[in-house]
Amino acid sequence: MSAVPAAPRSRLLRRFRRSRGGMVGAVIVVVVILVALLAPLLAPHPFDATDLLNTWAPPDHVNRLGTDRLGRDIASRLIMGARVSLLVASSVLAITLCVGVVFGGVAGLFGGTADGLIMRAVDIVLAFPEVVLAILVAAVLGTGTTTVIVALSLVWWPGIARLTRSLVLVQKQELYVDAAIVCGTPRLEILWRHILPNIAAPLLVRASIGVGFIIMAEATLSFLGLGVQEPTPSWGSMIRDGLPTLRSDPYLAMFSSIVIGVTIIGFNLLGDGLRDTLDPRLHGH
Amino acid sequence: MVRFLLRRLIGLLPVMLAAMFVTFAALHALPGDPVAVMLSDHSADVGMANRLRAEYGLDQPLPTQFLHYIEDIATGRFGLSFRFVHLPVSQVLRDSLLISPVLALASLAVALTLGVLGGVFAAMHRNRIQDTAVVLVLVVGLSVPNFAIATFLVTLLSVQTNLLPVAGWGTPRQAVLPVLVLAIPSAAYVARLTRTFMLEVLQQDYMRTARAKGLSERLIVWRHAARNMLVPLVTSAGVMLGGLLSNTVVVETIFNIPGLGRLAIDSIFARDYPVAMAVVLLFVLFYAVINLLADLLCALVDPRLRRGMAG
Amino acid sequence: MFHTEAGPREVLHDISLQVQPGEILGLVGESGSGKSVTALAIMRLLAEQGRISAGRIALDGVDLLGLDAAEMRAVRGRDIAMIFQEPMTSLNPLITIGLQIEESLHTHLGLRGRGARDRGIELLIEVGLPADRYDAYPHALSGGQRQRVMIAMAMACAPRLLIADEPTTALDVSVQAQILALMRKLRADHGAAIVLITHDMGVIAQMADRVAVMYAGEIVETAPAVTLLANPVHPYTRLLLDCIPTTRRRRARLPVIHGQIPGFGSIVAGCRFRERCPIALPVCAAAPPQLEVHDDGRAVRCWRGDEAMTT
Repeated sequence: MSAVPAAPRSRLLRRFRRSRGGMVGAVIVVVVILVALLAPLLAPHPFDATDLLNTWAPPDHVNRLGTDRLGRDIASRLIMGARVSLLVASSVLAITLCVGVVFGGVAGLFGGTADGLIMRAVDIVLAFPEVVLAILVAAVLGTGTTTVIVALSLVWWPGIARLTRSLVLVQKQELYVDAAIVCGTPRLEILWRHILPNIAAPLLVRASIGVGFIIMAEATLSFLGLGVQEPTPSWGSMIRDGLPTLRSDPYLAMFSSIVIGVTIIGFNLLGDGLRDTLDPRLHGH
Repeated sequence: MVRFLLRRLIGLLPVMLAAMFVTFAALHALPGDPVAVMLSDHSADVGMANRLRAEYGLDQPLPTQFLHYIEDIATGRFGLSFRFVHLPVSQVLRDSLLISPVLALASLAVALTLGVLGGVFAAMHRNRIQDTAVVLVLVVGLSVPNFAIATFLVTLLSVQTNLLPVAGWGTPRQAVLPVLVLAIPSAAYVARLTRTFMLEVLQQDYMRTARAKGLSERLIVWRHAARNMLVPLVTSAGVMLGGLLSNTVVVETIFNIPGLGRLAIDSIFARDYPVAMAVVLLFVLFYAVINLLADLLCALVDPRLRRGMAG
Repeated sequence: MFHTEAGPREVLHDISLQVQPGEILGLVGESGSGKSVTALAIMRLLAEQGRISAGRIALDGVDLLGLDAAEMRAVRGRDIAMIFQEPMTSLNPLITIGLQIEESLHTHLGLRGRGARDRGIELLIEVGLPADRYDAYPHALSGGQRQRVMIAMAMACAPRLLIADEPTTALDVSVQAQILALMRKLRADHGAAIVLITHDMGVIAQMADRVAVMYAGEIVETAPAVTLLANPVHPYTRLLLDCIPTTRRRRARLPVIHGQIPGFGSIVAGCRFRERCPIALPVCAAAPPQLEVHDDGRAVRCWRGDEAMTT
């Protein structure tokens, strides 16, 4: 039994369309992704072009959203920021899905010592609050984009591993797995060829729900100065730059806050909508 | 109960040991020689370097250093700071130690109060405009990072109206904004939890019994329904307090508060790694103790669990 | 009238029941016939999608439908008390049974502190539970004991009307007898009127003075218990009685009433029972029969009622 009812695709689509939040989220996400992909074309100015004679400019028709402390165009930096955000988020997702599925799958399929070791590792990682883990990684690797990706991957893989393990344990009860074992199929091939397609849907739902949180976590680390470094724009670090001057020049912090807020709301709404569509049982009502 | 407590305390040991090992490994995996950092422009002075190396125990083999590290932590000294040469880490931490827990606890109280009130309010007006309004606020509170929310709160409450100070720490007025900003995501979380839970509890048979007894709506909601919320609330309060504690880092950065979190970040920028690692260890310890306390509290609140703990 | 997603659905139709002080009225029917909905309607405890669109519910001449929410609350538990089918879930698991009994005393009689506690313990002893169970939580009690607690709660304010919705269905046979005895005692001591809802004709035979049989949201037959049991007229009542195993009629198999009760909303023209009725005539499909009163105190809703009376 797969966790997803075997509804035809069109029916799933119709069910998703009925979820108003999910549709709003989908629109926001599509816009953000398009902006990220087309960033260099859309940005009116180079994101790192400084103009020290025009710092903290309020919005006008040259700099639509004003400029920052180095006279850089805020709108262009926000547009490039979308690309940075999504790049980090997709890297973290790819890494955690690979690592989490492999470790969780092995733990669930093999059991025994492998299971014990992997689950202990998961417990230990979970004993560290995520910001604290990021501080630890930042201490070892120094600050930067790599630090963010490593730290967030470290934080996220245990969840994926646990989910995969429990899903695999359920699938293991199914006859098709027994059949494959009887045929002498190697265990890892069973995991890859037979089990994975059956657990892909809940994993994807989980991943889609995770995107919003990963974007938020990236922004948080960059806000703290541990993450993406100058001159690369990150929404989090832009808010950090804008906060001290909130009284005199509020535009940088304001616009960055709005953009990041709307983006994460979009991803979360989309994730919730997907979850409700694919697995209504997860969410009652 | 005592046996349960003991078992849980013993269960903490491997986690703390692992945390100590990880932080120790991190300290030694760091690029560069800490002594060179400490000496900066005096790094040519070999005699001084050797004396420092001996004082910090860096001349010993790694296993011995690890044992010293554990001993230092057990005695609460946490080794010596790199930035403030000769100064024990415990001295560096002393002034910051309480700020983050106080912030986190105050925020927890605010989050629980706002969240429960909001959630009950929404549940009582299910599917009506009040409910929709609360749910919309929840979406924003849960999705928007709190430093982005802070931008607007600060603009509204400090910059525009001068109601509250923008930064600093020490007076109650200075605490309002940080506590509020820290509490908002948790409040939204609690409200969502409360709302879902209330909608479920209101369906229970014993709620019908309470109604059939002619109890007032207030008694029905706050005694019969809300008491059942205590268990999930206390459980989630434990998880939240851990999250709040580590998120004090963000709030301390926004509002320029000299707490543990900001100290850790500053220490990383100053390459004062022993201080950063000490903060990491403290957070892990707080986190573990909080979870333990939450489990204990749950047992106190739910008579059905209490029996399970005796064994 | 229930308001469902598919629009309003009539659930109960033309229900007329009367019960005198000191009388036990048995309300019989299979699951889904509308017995419990009738009970909740009397208490005005239908969930928000349920509505009473027409009619009168009078207690000593006062129309309950005319009361506002607060007045109705004062009636519930004081004038009308209710016992439910599920003793395992009808008590709040997180509140001691003592407090749950005291709530009624407090709300309706204004008893507090020692006074409430003493009276509560008295009630507990009256229903045959040891006084030391007063501070127990429901999970420490068996199903029968919990039902006793429910009865104690119901008795707390000496109600004039007690509605017992399948009070013994979830209990063992031996416990059933004790609970029924307790209810008879309640009537004897306080002269309360009792509406006893059950699907068990055996319970009816033991307890009821008068019986009303419900089918698909309608009353199909009502008569004094002795009359009805000795000489059932409506084909549905007959079938119900035939389903009781007796020592006299040793049959290899009990008869089965074929088919299912029509779902609400799928009720069509004519007699609601006709599709399962062994003696249906063409007229039964044409028009719904009315409840006709006969001179032996019986009323029957059947086109062939007169015929059956004479044979």
